[in-house]
Amino acid sequence: MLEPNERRFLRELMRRMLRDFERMERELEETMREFAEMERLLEERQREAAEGSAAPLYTVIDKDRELLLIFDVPEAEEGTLEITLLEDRIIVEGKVDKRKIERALGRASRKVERVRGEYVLPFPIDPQRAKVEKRGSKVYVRVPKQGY
Amino acid sequence: MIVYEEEIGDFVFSEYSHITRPRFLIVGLPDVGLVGEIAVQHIVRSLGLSFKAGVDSYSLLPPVAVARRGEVLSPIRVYGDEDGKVVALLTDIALNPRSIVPLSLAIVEYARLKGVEYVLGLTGAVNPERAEMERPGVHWVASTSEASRIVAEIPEIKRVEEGYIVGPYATLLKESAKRRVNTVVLMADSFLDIPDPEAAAVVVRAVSQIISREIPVEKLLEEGELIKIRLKELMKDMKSTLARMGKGYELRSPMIY
Repeated sequence: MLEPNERRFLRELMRRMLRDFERMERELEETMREFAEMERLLEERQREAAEGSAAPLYTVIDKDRELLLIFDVPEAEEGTLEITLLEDRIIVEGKVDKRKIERALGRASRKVERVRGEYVLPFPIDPQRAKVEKRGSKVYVRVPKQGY
Repeated sequence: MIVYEEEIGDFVFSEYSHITRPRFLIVGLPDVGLVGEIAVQHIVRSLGLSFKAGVDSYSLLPPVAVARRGEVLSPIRVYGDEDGKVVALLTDIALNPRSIVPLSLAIVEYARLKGVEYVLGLTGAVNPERAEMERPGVHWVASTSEASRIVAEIPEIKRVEEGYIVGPYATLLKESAKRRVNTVVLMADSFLDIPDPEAAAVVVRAVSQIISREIPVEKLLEEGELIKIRLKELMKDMKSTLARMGKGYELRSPMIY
């Protein structure tokens, strides 16, 4: 039979062990997420290297009734960009300005022939009413969400 | 050859040239729009700062070494000027969420041990209206009243009245306040996950006024597109980290009672 102070000690010990296990579980989950993300990036880079393409950086801003999609394509050759809008996705394609890539990254950089990215949108959109504007290296696409 | 080494938590600061009581430590960690990264790279180049120290951690950073002209460098480095008044810390790699807090704590402690007078943290603040802005604004938050004095008189930069800061600079500020380190974080309105050289340029202008050194930004703006090509992969690496560190909080209004 355990004394009350021994029971308290054991309960506290169990609580601490449980806390440690929970912390270790959280750290393990975070590490697994990191590995998964690194794997995804590696696969994306390998695919882009094999295709000779580079996906543009983009950001999506939810403006209530419409979406503002911003694509940054500093490596694209002037006048070659094509934007295809579908109800659920957007495709950005263009040729690469090789001289610009060489100036930025040097001659040893990997061979990139074209810019290409396909992005699934967070809301269905109305492609017919989209407005596209290019300012500097950025392309701004304003498009109403379906039903607005 | 290493002349001094300081181990702080899981990070080791290896000095190849002594750093003694600098007036300013400028910090550019990868964050929103890579504003700090771009700004500090430009400051290092414009002021002709030279390599002083490497910062590394075998447990918290990926096993990365930077090769430059046949030499090996740490992915996080400190540069400084001839008279030792201005030093700047920058990183070439994305930080994973696990390393952000320990690195921020280590930077504050290093600044305290080295007798840094002011730490200047440079970063971006997500602004959904950034696309409509001709020139982004700059905002500041300080860890001490002494730190706020160096920015309060500059009319172009505004004090943050209310808001959340998420990420490495939040820890940098909180820990600086606890340890009485004078830290000012300068934040320019920025895109979240697109490198923003224009935002970096307005931050550099503010730094130029604070440290009373001329730092032209014309070249930074001219070479904006090349900089963005160079930093594209780093931004891709950072994208998921930004989401996981909870950057969405910065867009929320704070609950102040």
